[in-house]
Amino acid sequence: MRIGGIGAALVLALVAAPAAAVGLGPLKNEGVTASERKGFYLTLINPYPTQERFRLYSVEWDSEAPVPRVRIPVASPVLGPKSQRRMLVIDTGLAPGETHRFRVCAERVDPAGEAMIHARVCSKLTARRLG
Amino acid sequence: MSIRSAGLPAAAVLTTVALAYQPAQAQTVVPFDGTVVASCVLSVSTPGVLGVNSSSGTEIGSEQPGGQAAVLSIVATAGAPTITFSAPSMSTKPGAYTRTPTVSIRYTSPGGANRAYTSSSSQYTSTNALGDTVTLHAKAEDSGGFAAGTYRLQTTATCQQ
Repeated sequence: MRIGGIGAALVLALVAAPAAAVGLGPLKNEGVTASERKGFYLTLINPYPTQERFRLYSVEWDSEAPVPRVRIPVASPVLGPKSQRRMLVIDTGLAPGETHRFRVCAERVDPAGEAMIHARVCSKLTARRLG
Repeated sequence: MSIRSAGLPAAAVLTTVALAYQPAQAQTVVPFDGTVVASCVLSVSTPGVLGVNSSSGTEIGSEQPGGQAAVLSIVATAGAPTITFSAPSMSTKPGAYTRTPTVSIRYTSPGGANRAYTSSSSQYTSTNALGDTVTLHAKAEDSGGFAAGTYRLQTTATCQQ
């Protein structure tokens, strides 16, 4: 059934999605390592007055392609109300002399569906292995 | 040795002892250390609501009757971050609606954002280093109209430097 005219407002179910929020820092970091691994700490922030589950994942520096070589041991943490937590991110497989740039993004896990604005915060990380 | 046995007045002895144990430095510095790192907190304080263009039926959007803009709050430390909005899409629609609408968003903010309706990804950097409040509208247009059911228009807002 197509809708139109005055009746449209009566039959269209409209969406009032739940709000979304997340915090992350630092927004940029870099580090040097002598091994094939480099670890970073990010601080994940829960702005909600309630306990919430979040998701962290890695993507390329300038695209949304996943970066499997970046490991996040606790990728789906639960944070208490108005709290923050340090999250470990490990870049692996660094070749001698290689500089690897990537992003780690955080967002709230919303089991009820996503809001009109899907909010996320990304940190840009650069790992360099000595040659 | 007792005070009395030394032949000194008790008060004088106490004063002497007190001076002898006075620290060499009278001032003490109590440090409070901390580090400010660049961070960003995004909050959708008001979710958007879609209304229907009741005169034509060819548009649903937050600026139509019954609709409401979404409000995105940004709180930043150590520098104004850049907010990137992805190309908007229709993420929820009824099964009876099989067409492809034109979905677009527009947004404004006190921190300098002023984007007209666009179907592409876009970004801005706030002139306020401590944060901003973005008011965002979304709409979907289809000359063939929309089937009855539930719709959701969506964009991903990314805060980063």
